Amino acid sequence: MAAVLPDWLSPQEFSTAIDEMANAIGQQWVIHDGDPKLRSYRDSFSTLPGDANVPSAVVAPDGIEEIQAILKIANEHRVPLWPISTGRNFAYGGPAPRMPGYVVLDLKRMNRILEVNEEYAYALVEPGVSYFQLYEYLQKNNIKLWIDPAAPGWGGIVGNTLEHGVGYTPYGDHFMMHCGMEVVLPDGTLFRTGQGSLPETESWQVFQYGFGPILDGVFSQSNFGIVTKMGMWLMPEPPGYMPFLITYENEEDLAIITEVVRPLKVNMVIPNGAFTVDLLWDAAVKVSKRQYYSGKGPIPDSARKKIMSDYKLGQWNFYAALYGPPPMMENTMQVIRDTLGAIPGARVWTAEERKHDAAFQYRSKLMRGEPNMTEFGLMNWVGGGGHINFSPISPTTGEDAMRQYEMIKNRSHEYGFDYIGEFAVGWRDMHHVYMLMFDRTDDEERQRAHELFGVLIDEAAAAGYGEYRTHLAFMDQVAKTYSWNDHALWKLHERLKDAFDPNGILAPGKQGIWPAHMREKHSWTS
Amino acid sequence: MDKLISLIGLALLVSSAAAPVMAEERPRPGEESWLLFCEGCHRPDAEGPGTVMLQRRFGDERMAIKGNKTLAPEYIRSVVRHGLLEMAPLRQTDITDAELDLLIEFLASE
Ligand SMILES: Cc1cc2nc3c(=O)[nH]c(=O)nc-3n(C[C@H](O)[C@H](O)[C@H](O)COP(=O)(O)OP(=O)(O)OC[C@H]3O[C@@H](n4cnc5c(N)ncnc54)[C@H](O)[C@@H]3O)c2cc1C
Ligand code: HEC
Repeated sequence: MAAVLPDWLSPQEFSTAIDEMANAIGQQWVIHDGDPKLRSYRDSFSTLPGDANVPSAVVAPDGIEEIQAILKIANEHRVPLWPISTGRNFAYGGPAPRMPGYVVLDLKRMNRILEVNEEYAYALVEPGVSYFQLYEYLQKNNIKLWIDPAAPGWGGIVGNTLEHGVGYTPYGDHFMMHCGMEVVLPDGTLFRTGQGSLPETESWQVFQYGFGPILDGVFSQSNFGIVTKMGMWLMPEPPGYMPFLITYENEEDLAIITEVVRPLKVNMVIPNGAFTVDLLWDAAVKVSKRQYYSGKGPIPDSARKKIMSDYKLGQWNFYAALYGPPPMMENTMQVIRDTLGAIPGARVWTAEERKHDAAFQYRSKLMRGEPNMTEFGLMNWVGGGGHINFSPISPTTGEDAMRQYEMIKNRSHEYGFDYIGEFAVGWRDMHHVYMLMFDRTDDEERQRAHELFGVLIDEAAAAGYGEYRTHLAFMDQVAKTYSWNDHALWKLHERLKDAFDPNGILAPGKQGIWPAHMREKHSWTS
Repeated sequence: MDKLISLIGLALLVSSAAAPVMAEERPRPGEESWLLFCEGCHRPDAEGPGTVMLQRRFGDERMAIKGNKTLAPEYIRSVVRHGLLEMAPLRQTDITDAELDLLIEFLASE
């Protein structure tokens, strides 16, 4: 299979560049020339056709010098590079680049845990460190610190944090909890953010801001630099832990749940990343759709009722946890029972009552920082592997929650898909994640899912809701919705792009930010 | 005071030195690869989505991949490298060919 190349690169120039890169880092860490191994860098779950977004090559450096050597060659030949860390960004593109033919810069080999400081409770890691790896390390060395993983434990600290990922412990806002980065710019410049720029510092991982502008954010969800180290605060293991579930009987309860949760979150009565989870998201980990419904289209209400009673679930299922000395947790739990537990039809469940429930178990692990893969069970709901996440943000109000829920559910039913969703409740906002699940072996269904996703973006934007991250295929469309003052923000991103990366070699089109030489074809800002 | 300190979990702070950093052993032993890349989905219970799917498809005899002697090494290698529907493939940078051989040996052990 001949590789697709970026349209400005001739096969000769491309192959010269790849040879030079192979010389710099060793032939065994370069994949190219239509090698079938390239296919392991696809997104095999997306709404795009089979082999969309296959890279033309992969280079896997180990160390700053090798990255700098690759950047130099890429600048000379204008080869587009797509950096990945652990490369598990599934539901949003997996390891795949924004466009076919880019060269993936795979940083997975750089997987050293550089420091774990028990006293100050932080870790300093390279990009290839996965949640499982850091967890195992802490366990083996009996270090009483918790990590905060995303639901899939094979993802990693650097990649997930750069994408503004979320977790389930009180440290669930990953970007907020990171402290200090080391970055290589496209021209090879190496620097550290925050206190890290003071040569004698011992404070790189204890103070986020340093002196002068805070640049860390510029390197998240962007294509301005390659992050090569990151500090992450870790939560000290608390003296007690109390996860719980509250089930609710009616769809409309979402409004009151959200209203009651808001003050509990803003006042930090509930300290962790709490989730209001719809029936099917919870059930799909345990049962397949076929066990309850063999027809086409969304599962009917009668079957939903049956699942609710078979598995003792609610239309909505609220998960959170308490931490600390037992007397404190018990007092707080009483507050929870008197508020969230007092909503008519609510039932509060303890860990003991749910100890044989796989969904409760994996959430209970996530809320105490124990990585796992159980949520992948969602993929077994319809089978066929397809999934892509639609993730709009809203304020934590009952009205907004219902409005988003109705909007997405109705559209999703209209297009013949189940609504499978959850609301991650932050301090003041909610990340509403709708997992659009489809059978990827059915072309018509895949295309229908793609169309639905596009409709949802525009409809949400019209109602004032923007996505917090999105799949590769929809980055331009989402970026376009952030259009205040004639796309002023994206125009600024383009100016930064030109300053940091004048040859436009790093992740062109990431988050809808295109370099000058591709702007005419792709950008909408001018 | 002692009681208070241990209650709020601060007693640990007495040991102040940063933990030494362990370099990962490479080639990675089969069991390590299993924990990092497979066990999450193929743990032998209802929390393993791979196990659940295989049980639904093929029944109890074929739901486990650990200790399942009927799986040919070539087949495992191919599934790991190419993926299988809901299961995404692993790359050379995740696990080298030599490490995959060690993993396959580990899977065949009891
Ligand atoms: C069932 C399921 C559940 C999920 N649950 C969650 C969840 O709970 N929370 C959550 O946040 N997400 C979740 N996700 C989404 C996703 O799988 C995770 O966020 C995952 O951690 C991202 O992959 P990664 O960590 O391997 O990052 P990577 O794939 O390595 O990186 C993601 C992106 O960041 C950029 N990037 C990576 N490394 C660098 C670098 N060094 N320098 C510059 N840019 C870089 C690249 O654009 C890359 O594509 C879920 C997905 C699925 C399918
Ligand atoms: C993300 C979850 C996930 C991970 C991680 C995963 N698997 Fe799987 N695996 C599955 C699922 C789901 C299936 C069943 C696919 C189907 O038939 O639909 C499967 C099937 C298999 C099969 C086929 C078994 C048979 O009887 O046909 C093998 C072999 C296998 N996996 C090996 C592995 C190995 C080895 C690893 C680790 C390197 C691994 N898997 C990691 C989810 C996973």
